[in-house]
Amino acid sequence: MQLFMGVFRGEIAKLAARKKYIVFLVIEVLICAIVLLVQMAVEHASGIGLRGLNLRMMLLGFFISIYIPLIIFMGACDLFSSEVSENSMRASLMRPASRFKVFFAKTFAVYLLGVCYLFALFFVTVILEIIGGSSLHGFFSSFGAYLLDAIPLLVMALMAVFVNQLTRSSTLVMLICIIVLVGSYVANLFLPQVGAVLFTSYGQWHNLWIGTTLPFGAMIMKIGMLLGYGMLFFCGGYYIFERKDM
Amino acid sequence: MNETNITTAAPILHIENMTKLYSNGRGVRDINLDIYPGDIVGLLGPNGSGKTTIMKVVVGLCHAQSGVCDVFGHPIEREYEQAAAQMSCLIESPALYENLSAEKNLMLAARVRGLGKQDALNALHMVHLDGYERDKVGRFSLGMKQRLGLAIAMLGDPKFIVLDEPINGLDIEGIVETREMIVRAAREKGCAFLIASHLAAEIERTCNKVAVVHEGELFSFTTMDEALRRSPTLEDYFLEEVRKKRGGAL
Repeated sequence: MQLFMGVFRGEIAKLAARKKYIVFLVIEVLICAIVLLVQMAVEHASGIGLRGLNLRMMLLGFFISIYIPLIIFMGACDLFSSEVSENSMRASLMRPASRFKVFFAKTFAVYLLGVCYLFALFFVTVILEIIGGSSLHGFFSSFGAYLLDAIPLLVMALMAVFVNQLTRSSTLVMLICIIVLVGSYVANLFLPQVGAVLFTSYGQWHNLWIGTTLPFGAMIMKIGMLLGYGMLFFCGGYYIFERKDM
Repeated sequence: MNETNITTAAPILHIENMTKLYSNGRGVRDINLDIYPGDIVGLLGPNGSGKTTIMKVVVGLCHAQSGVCDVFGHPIEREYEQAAAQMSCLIESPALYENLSAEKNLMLAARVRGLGKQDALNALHMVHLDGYERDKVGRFSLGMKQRLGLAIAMLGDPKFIVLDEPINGLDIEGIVETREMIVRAAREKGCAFLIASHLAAEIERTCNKVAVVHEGELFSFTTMDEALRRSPTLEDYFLEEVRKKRGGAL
């Protein structure tokens, strides 16, 4: 465990040293602030009480579907394909930690990066709502929604890590990941039957649990589907990573 | 110097009939090599002869197609963590994170080995990089990067160190210091080294055993004394061995 933690802390340190993640966090805060300001301006101009709208849940959809997946793709590229192309991956592999531990630590660091952005969003929106004079109704249910949405992010991270094993060009990896993401959203829009079996359609996982709850059988199927995707991406990614000559 | 080790101690590195071929047909074939505590083995061969491939298999960066490669009695493929626990390396150019400081680069390696900040700073002091701990590695010269790579390799007093062209980019003082550091670690701590170089003179000055590698094959493996008994210089020994294997032609 100490060995794994040593590797994991190293991966976190590598991500933390990249200033772009701070910049993206600032952008996240700015988007939230702008939405709140627009909300207040519309309310002021029209006289319609929009502040009753839940900012936390309103922004969750956009961030979980577009913004955070992009951050995850970037994190995966930084810890995998960029390291391979810059020859620094060897540094991780020449230490006395097995490739499984290195792969797992890197993957978990990428996932944690996404989760950090998700919960940063929650706390920022809560603070902004307090500043805006909102009543913070449904605080616990929205927190539960954020917790639930953290689960499919893991599959997103595993998918990005898997794609990173296929090529050493981080630009190409980003492109493939974005095409997969956008393609699946488009498929979901025009071919709902196909979209239902794609992992990206579970992005807003909380919709399945909060509000109109699906029948038990359907829930099990969806959990199984997500698990299946996760295992497939993890095993595929690890197999290629393990066999790779550096 | 290690004749007694050869007969009594268990080898730190045991390679038997190891073959690693890349898709382009290059690589190494049927390599046999044993390294004992205190040995400083020099892999001598021209560029592209397979020295780095042997080292990459030894440290687990590449997978051999066949043969045995045991480090401290553990197969590198199946028991990597046990094999690598007391091994460290510097392969090709130092694998460093250019956007991190020298200290952070060292800490990445130190944490995995259960070492702390003081160990990292001591390693920096050893290679005379004190004062540069907070500087980003991206701003370092080639020689400074090489020194930092050596500091990472020597971190935590490993018992087996694999160094690929360790004096690459170093100045005269750095070359002499590195050589002395290697000889001292072998003599005082029984540390074993596998060093690759295409410079015969450097291998001759540093190592007590020499392995001649050419076109993916191990032509000979003997003690330095024996090599220098047969030929006036290691360079002559190398040329003689290559000529012998090729039936007179170079």
